[in-house]
Amino acid sequence: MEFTRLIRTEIRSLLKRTEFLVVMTISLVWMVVPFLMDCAKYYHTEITYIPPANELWVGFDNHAGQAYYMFLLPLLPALAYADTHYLNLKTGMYKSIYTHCRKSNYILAKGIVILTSGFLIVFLPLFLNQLLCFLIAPFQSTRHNLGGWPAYASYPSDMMMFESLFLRKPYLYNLLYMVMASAMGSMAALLSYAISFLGGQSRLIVIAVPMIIYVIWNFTTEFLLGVEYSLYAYLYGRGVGGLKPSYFFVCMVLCFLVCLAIVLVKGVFHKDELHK
Amino acid sequence: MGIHRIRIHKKYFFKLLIGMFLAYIVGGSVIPILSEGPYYEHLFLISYGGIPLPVEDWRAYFSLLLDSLLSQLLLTFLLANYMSDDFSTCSVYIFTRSNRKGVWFAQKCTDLFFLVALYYVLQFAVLLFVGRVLARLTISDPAVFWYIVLSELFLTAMLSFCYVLTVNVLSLKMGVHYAYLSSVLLIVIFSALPMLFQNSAAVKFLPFSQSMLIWHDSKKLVPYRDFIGSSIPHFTILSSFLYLLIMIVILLFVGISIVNNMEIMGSERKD
Repeated sequence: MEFTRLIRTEIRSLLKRTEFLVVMTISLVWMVVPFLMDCAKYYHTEITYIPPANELWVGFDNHAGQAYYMFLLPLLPALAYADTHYLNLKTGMYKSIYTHCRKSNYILAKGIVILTSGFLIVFLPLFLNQLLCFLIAPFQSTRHNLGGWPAYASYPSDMMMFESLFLRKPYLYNLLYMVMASAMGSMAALLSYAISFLGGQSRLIVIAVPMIIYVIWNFTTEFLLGVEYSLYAYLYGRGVGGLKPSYFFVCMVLCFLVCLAIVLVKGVFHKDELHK
Repeated sequence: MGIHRIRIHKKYFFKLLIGMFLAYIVGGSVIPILSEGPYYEHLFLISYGGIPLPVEDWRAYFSLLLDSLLSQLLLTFLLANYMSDDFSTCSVYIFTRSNRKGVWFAQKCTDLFFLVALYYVLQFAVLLFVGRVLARLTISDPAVFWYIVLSELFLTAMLSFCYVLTVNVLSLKMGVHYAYLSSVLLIVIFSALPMLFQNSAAVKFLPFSQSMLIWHDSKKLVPYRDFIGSSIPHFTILSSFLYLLIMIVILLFVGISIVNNMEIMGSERKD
């Protein structure tokens, strides 16, 4: 009962938070701009010459999507709500909260809302972009965004991780990629939340370290091991050769477990001045 | 005051050592493709010279962009709260005794420029070490080598200083979290724009282009053109230097104006 009440309170404070609204606005604008560029590109073009809406989607094969996945994806979810626990600790607000509810319930409820906020910050703008694409592009088309492919030639899908899904249900395929990118956003937010339990750091470290780790990881693995070990390569719908889906999911699960361990050890089971 | 500054330098100096790790990876990854020209000039041109033109595929452009941007994103992160930290802890003690906020700001800017330059000097030193140890590289023409190294150092350091100054100035106004977000957005947008404008004259006027040494029209780089791609006509290093200098001066004026109008007592940190 208390847990549900805490979740409701956290969701209310998430929806009212300025940072959440600012970050959501930035994400939405980032996804609307490529749509407007596509509008300009295909203005006055015959409908049969326009690629299908699933290929115009920003996460499929688009420079704005690539820039978003490479640099902004971990920063925006971390900024939306993940630093609130750090602020509670810094301002002493946690003493007031812990005396009104069970500490473990509060920490877990906040963790769940932070995970959800990270997911929404990424998922909603990507989904909006797909909906906007329906306004200017047909559901199915004989044209592809790589150029003028004849009707009998299929899109080069051999590099895709989920090729059969793309060929049979292209919009479900895009939805799967939206969920994968959103899961990455959730992990970034959770990592930021976990870092806030490791005391003594600044707010900048709490919100920016997930992005720095993500970019350095992508950079080092791409240079030393190959692009199939960079996490951002798994988020493009168009696909990159040699990817192993299990690698991406193992990374996500490992990140989740590490964050959970930090939250449990340094948060839930940690004795603070109110719980000795 | 002086002792305090030295202590801050030490703290930030150790932070900047992280950049050496990046330089090691960049150097290590470039060396295998230097079999045709085993010289330091090639190593520096590929590692820190920029993205080869013409850019035909934006996927390849972004992949190469990661190499260029990581260094700048990391530096911006490491130095983002340099001024706001000092302002929140010392402003009450300093500015109530001396009303010269502009002098404080100028001192901080000098420190920041020193740190930014040091960051790249350390990276270049690692690159020299990596080239010598891993591939026994040599210098083919000392004059050209120093021209390349110094041009890269100045152009990269000045652009990075612009970003660092932006994040620090903004952090005094809106808090370090929004300042960092704004700076990352600026860096990513500025870096992606040259790809869209590569066929127009506008590419010369974009901030990111100024740090791309191999895009510059220079006689000393002509022997390396097969290796580093083409240049943008009439795009000189001197014009880039002046461009970045003007940007820095504008940022300094904006910063001084913000600092002069800040409330000392009401400057509690937003972070």
